[in-house]
Amino acid sequence: MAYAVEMVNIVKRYSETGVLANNKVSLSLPKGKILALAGENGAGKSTLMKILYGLELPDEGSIAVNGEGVKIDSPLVANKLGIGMVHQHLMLIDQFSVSENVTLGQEVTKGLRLSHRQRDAEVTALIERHNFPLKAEERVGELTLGQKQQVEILKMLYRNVELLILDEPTALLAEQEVDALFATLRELVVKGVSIILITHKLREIKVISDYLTIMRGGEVVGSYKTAEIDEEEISRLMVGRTLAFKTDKSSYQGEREEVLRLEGITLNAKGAKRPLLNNVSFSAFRGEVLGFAGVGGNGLGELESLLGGFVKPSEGHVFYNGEDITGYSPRQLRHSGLAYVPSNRLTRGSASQASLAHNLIATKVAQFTKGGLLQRRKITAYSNKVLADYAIKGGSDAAVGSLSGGNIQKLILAREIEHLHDYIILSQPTWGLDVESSLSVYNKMLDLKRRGVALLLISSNLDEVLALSDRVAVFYGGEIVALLEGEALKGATKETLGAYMLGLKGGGVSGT
Amino acid sequence: MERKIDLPLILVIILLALLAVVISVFLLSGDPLRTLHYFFLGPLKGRYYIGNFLNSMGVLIFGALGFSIAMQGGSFNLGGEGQIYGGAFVATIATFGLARLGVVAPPLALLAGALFSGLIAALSGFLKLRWGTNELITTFLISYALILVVNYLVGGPFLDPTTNLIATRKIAPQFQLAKILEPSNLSTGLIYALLAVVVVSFYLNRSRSGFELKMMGYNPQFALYSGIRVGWYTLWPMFLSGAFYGLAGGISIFGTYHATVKEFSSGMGWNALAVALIARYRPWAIVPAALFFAYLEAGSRNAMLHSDVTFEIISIVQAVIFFFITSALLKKRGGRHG
Repeated sequence: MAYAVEMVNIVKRYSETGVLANNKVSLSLPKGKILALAGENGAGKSTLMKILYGLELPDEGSIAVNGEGVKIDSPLVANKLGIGMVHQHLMLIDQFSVSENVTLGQEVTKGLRLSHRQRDAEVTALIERHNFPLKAEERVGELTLGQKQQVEILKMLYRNVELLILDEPTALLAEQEVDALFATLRELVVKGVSIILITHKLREIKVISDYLTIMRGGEVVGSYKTAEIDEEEISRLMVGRTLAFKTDKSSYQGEREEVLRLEGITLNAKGAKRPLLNNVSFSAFRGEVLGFAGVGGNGLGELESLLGGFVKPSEGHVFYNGEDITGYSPRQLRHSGLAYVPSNRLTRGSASQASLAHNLIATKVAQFTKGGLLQRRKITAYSNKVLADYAIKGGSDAAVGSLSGGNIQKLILAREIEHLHDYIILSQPTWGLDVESSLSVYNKMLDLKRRGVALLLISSNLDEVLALSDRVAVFYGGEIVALLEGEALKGATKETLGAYMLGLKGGGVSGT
Repeated sequence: MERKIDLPLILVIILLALLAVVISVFLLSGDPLRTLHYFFLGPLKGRYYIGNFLNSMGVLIFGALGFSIAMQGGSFNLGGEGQIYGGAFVATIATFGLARLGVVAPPLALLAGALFSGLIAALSGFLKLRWGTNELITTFLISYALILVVNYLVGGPFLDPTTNLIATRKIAPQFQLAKILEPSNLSTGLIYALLAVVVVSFYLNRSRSGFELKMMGYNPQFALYSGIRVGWYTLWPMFLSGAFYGLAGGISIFGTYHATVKEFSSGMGWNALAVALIARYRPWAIVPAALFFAYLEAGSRNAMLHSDVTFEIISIVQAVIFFFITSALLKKRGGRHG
């Protein structure tokens, strides 16, 4: 069988965070077929595709395109090899016409002058050949998201790509737009183009792909012919086997008091056809872990940003101990009691050039100030104590950037737990931590729960969501499609959650 | 933690800058050896030259502190040219009104200049905060408009008709800084500049406000997340930056020029920026960097006076430094992703 691409034993470790994004990953795609590359967030799919497109260099491993070994060290090389990529976030110039965008970088010239007429004619011909509902002269800014994506694909076709990579192309599309996209992809395949589709939507995998490679935690867990595997099996492979750890769930003895309440929160996005969050309501109670599960792009990232004060809701209200705190800035929320471990530890959760001590006190520098001056001895003493208490490897004066990803995460956790008042938002709290460190985080969380803290846990690790949560809200398409608690949660498995998360089941919201 | 400085890299860049001087002298001068002699040894020949060379250090230090403090807070202030000139002018005319106040008048006049330039720079901060305009552009543009306005004022309403210069009246003797090394221009301005380094360093490292300003510079997302007043720290570093540029202008009037002469400060802003770049925005490193740059500047001036090259030779040094330091910085930034 002739292969469009073969990647063998690719290894990629990110030096700053020490994360092993790809561990001996292999993948192959026969010519003229569609391969779905599936997996949870952080499974390593995007890294692998960036390597194929020349945006990242692998540490080890080899790549062959059309049977020949190649070294792809830039997207230009990838383009020469006939590889094109459509990124999740479209890279178009709104002010330019369709044909200008399509020919950008490969402008049609007559002598030194640009030939507009010839360019428009060429692009029109291309559009007609592929039956896109587009006009060459239209301004891209006036198109819908689905049409913009078609422009991106046209751009690739104009460059005669033979292998097209699409990174979660359906993430922002409406149903009909998805159907149109798939029709296009099928046509392309007929014309000999090979396609790799990054996705984590089960239905799409079944509908469109010929082959399927599933990744988890930086490794390939299996490669299949799509026809030979069913959805449940795919779901099981994507989320992984259940890790065995036991936690003591019911131990808070106090009153069940509400700490945080969201009422009808809706968040609209520019240009998207559906809201990022749609009428989301829930309450978080003292001494309870409220878990959130959902696949990326279904609203959990937005929920996190909203709870942290980074975005303001378009509609709805947020109450904290009965007080309306809707639209509070992060600063106001910090004053009112927010403790928050963000999923993005480097861009949001820390200042990598600043010292450990300074990162630890950044959220409460007032407590270490006297007469406008920093109390340096007090800062160092506090920092040394926290670093010891939380077993963080690194000196108070060391830069955060010099720590491993796991230690940075521990530092952020330590700061937020020390900052804590009566609720805490934890987003991906154990991402990148080894098993032992994860367990210590879990124990810390349960300790907080016993003390009557309300914990909001957003995690793509379903094991920890199931093991720690007293209630679980499942997000799909920006909505809570299920709220599991009590017996329903006890009987729930990762497969149950997975079915809701992937939109196979839903609508039955029970309880508050 | 302080920003790490790559000392060998800086030395290499400095050597490259000097090499550029030597090469251009050989290309441009009819008598290169004589020119080089005056370039490198001229600034050190006797009290007069040494004093003048050290004197220009003071202004460079104030200006470099101005650029650096904005950078430490994550903002760019490219308006040094106009803010030095504007600050100098406001300090000058302030002396005319404040003379009767006695000993407090000189500091008040300097502060007036600093306040003016600080507000001009803070205006760019405000535009950034309110409409998201890029302060790199607005500081630059406002600065050039300001230069033209001051030119008009110096040549029109405030022109001193008794001299042949296009300049304001002279400031009263009570405002003039004491000379240290007669007959050179060296004044106590340099001491104030060194004092300013101590103050800025203390502010950045020991005060709460300095801490928050630096956090904003390290990572504005993190500053926002931590509850630091990011709006305020969009304005404040810009204000401080402008204020130090303004002081640079005021000090050069009080110490050296004694009147605002039309475009007397032309090029000072860019030279101060070059100094700040060499020092990687760290207050203490600004002192040796300013010494080095002042030396080259004096060398260019000497070579121009005693040989056949133009003063613009310093621009070559400046260009080489800008080019290599910014490309070294860009490479570091790019390397993180690729």
